[in-house]
Amino acid sequence: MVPFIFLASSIFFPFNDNWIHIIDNVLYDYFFNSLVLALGVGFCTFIMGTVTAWLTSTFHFPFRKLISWLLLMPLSMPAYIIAITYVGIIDSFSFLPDIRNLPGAIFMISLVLYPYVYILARGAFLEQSKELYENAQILSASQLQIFLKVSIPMARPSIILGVTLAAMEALADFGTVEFLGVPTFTTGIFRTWFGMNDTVTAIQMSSLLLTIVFVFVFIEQYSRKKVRYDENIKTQSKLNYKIISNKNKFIVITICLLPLTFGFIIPFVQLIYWSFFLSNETWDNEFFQIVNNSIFLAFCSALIILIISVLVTYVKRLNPNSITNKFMQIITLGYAIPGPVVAIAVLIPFATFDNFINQVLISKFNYSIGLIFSGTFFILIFAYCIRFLTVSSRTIKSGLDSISLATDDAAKTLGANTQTILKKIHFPMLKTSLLSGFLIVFIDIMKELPLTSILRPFNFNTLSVKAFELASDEKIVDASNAAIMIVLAGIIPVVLITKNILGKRNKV
Amino acid sequence: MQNTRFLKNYKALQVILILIFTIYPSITNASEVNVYSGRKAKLIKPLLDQFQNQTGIKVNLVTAKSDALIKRIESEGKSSPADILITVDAGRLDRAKKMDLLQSLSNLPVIKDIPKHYIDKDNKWVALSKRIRTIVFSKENIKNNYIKDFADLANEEWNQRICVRSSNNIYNQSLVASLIANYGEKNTEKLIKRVVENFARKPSGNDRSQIKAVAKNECDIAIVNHYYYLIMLQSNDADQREDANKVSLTFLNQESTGAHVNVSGIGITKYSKNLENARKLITFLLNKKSQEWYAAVNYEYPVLESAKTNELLESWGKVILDEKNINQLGDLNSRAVKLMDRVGWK
Repeated sequence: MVPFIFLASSIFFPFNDNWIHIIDNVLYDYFFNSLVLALGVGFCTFIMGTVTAWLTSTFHFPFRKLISWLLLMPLSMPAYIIAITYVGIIDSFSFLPDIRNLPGAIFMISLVLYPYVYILARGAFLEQSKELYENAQILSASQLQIFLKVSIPMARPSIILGVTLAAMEALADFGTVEFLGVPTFTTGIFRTWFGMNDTVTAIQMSSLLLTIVFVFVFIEQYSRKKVRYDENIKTQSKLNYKIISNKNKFIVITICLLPLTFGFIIPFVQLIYWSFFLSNETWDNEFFQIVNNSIFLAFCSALIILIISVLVTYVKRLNPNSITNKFMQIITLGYAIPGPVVAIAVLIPFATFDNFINQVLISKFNYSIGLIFSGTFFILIFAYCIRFLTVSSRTIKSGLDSISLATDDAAKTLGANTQTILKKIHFPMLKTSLLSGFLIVFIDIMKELPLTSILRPFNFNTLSVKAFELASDEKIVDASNAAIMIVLAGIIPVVLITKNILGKRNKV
Repeated sequence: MQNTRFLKNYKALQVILILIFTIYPSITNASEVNVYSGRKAKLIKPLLDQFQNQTGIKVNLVTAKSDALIKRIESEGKSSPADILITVDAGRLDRAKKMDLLQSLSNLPVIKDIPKHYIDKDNKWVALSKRIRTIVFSKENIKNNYIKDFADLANEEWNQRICVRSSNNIYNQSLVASLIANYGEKNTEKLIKRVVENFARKPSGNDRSQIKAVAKNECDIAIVNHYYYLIMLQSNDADQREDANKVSLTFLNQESTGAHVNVSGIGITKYSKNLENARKLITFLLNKKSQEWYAAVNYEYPVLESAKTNELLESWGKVILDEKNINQLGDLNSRAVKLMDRVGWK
C-alpha cells in the first residue's frame, strides 16, 4: 500500500512550471495517443482473443490441440522485440506497409497481448455448460448467434479482465511506442523525468494516468455490479467439440493461424535466422547462468505472487465489503503504472526504512547491516507483486466468481468449514485459473524489464535485461539469443497449463 | 488433494527460505568495488573483468538507465552500496553532482593526463570516452557535400530530406543543448524549427534506422552518432554493410564551433565505502590500454590523448570538437527538451 500512498501524495506537492509547458505543448498528444492506443489494443485483443478461444473450444479440427497451445506463444515475446523485428523485416521488403505509427503500435502490442484474452476466454468457454448450448439450439440459434449472445456474455468477466490487462499493459509500455515514434503518456512521463529532470511532475503524471484508468475500471465494474456470473445449472456434462465440414475446418485453421503467424512464427523465425547466421553472441556458461537466473527468479516470484493473490481473493470472497477489499482494488491497478515509476515508488519508502534501521544500529551498536530490504531480492519481488498482483488475483477471482456461492452454502450445510471448502471444492475447481495466473505472471516476469533492471542486486543479470541492453544499443541481431531463450522458457509453463486445460476436457 | 495442497505449501516455504538466504548480500569485504553503470554491460563488463583479474578486487555491477541509478543512489542515501557511477552522457553526471551524490576526484593523479574539458569543473567526474553526433548523407543524391554547418540543415533545399530519431533520445537532447550554449535559446529555437520542417518523416527508430532510411532513399541526410555508421560498416550482416556503403559521413562545424561531442563518464559516490578501490578502478579505466579498448570495441574516441584510436577513426584525421561546453550540457538539457516540444520535434 505504501507505494500507492506515495504516488497519490504526489498530488499534494506543488505543481511547477513544467506542467504549464506540458499542458501547452504536448499533453493533448499524449492523452489522445494513449487513449487510442489503449482502446485500440483493447479492441484488437478482444477480437483476436475471443475468436480464437471460441474456435478452439467449440469445433473439432485437425491439429486443434497443437494450435490451441501455440496460440499462447506470442505472450512470451517482449513487445519491443517484436516491433524491432518487424521494422527489420519491413526494411527488407519495401512493399510492406510502414508500422512506425499509432496503428502499427496498436497492431504490434496486440499481437503479443491477445493471449491474455485468449487464455481467460478459453478457460471461461470451456467451463460453460452443455445445457446452455442445448437450450440455445432448441431455440434454433445458429453457431454465430450462440457465440455472440450466449458464450461472450457468459464469459464477460474473463474477457473484460483480459482486455483490461492488455490495455493497461499497453498504457504502461515505453520501449515499443518510443521505437515506433508514438508519443504517449508513458513516454511523456519519462521525458519529464529523464529529459527535464523533474521527478515530481513525472510522478504526478503517473498519478493522473492511474486516476483515468481507475475511472474506466470503476465504470466497467459498476455496470455489472448486480450481476453474478455463476451458473446455477452447472452439471458435469461439458460440451463436445462440434464436427464441421472440411471447408469450414480449413477456414477455422486459417483464422487461428493468423495471429499465430504474425505474433509468433514470423518474428521467431527472423530471430532464429539472426541468431544462427549473424549474431556475435555465444552460447557460453555465462549465458546459461543468465538463463538460470531468469527462470529461477520468475518461478519463485510467480509462486509468491500466486500465494498472495489466493489469500487476497479469499478475503474478498469471504468479506466482500471489507476495507482490505477496497484497498485491493486500488493495488490491483498497479499494472497500468509504468515500471520505472513503480520502481521509485517502492525504492524510496524501503530505502528510507533501511537507512533508519542503519542509523539506529550505528548509534546503538556502531554496526551497519547494509540495505536489508532495498538492496536485495526482497524489493524486487515486492515490486513484482505490486506490478503483477493484478494479473494473478484477477485471474483467480474470475475463476472463483464462476463457482456459485450456493456451492459454498451447500458445503457449509454439510458441515464443511472454510478450509475444507477451499481444499476440497475450490482448489480442484480453480486449478485452471491458478495455473493460468501462474503462467501469465511467470512469462511476464521473464520479459519484465524496468523493475528488474533498476532494482536487481549486484551481478544478477537476466535475459530480459540482456536482450534489452543489446537491442537498445541497436544490436537487435545480438539480442536474438536472449530473446529466443525468453520465448523458449515461456514454452515450459505453456505446455504444462495446456495439458491441464486440455486434460480436463479429454476426461469427459 | 489434501496431499498436493500440503506439498505445494511446503514447496512454497522452501522457496521462501531459499530467498531469505539469498536476500542477505555478501557482507562488505575489504577488496571489492560496487559499480552502478548506465553504460550497458556489454560495453563495460569486459574492462571491469580485466580489472578484477589484474588487481584481485572484486567488481560488483548493476546496469540500468542512468536516471534510475541516480535516483537509487539518492534514495539509498548514506547506506548506498554504490562506490562508482558510470553514465553515457555528461548531463547525467552533472545531475548527480548537483544532487550532491558525488565526491571530488581532485587528488587522483591520472586526472592530470586528461584534457580539462573532459573533467568536471569541480572535479566531481571525469569522461571515459567521446561520441560525436554528426550527419551521414546519401552518396547517390548529394554528390558534392556542401553541408558544412549544422545550421545548413535549416536551408529550404533540404525540405523533406532529413531523418532523425525521436527527441526523447539523450543524444538529440544534448545536441540541442549544445546549440543553445553556442547560439542562445532564441536563435536555436528558430534554427531547430526550420530543421524540424525539413524532416522527411516522423521521428522513429534508432540511429541505425536513420542510416538505413538514407540508404533506401527515404531521406538524404540523417543525424547520427559517428560510431553507429562504423559499426554498420563492419557488421557481419551483408545488408547492413551495403546500407552503410551507400552513405558518407561528414563532421559538421569544422570551421566554426567544432562538431558536437558528448561523453560517457565516471564519478565516485559521496558515501563510497571502498574509496581506495574506486580510485584504483578509475585510474585503470583511464590507462592507455583501457582507453584503446573503447576505440577497438565500439569505435568511440578515447579521452586520453596518447591512446591510439582505431584505423577507421584514424583515417578521418583530426576532428575539431565542440569541447568547451560539455560541462554545460546538463544544465541546458531541460531547456532543450522544452524547446523541442515547442517546435514539434516528436
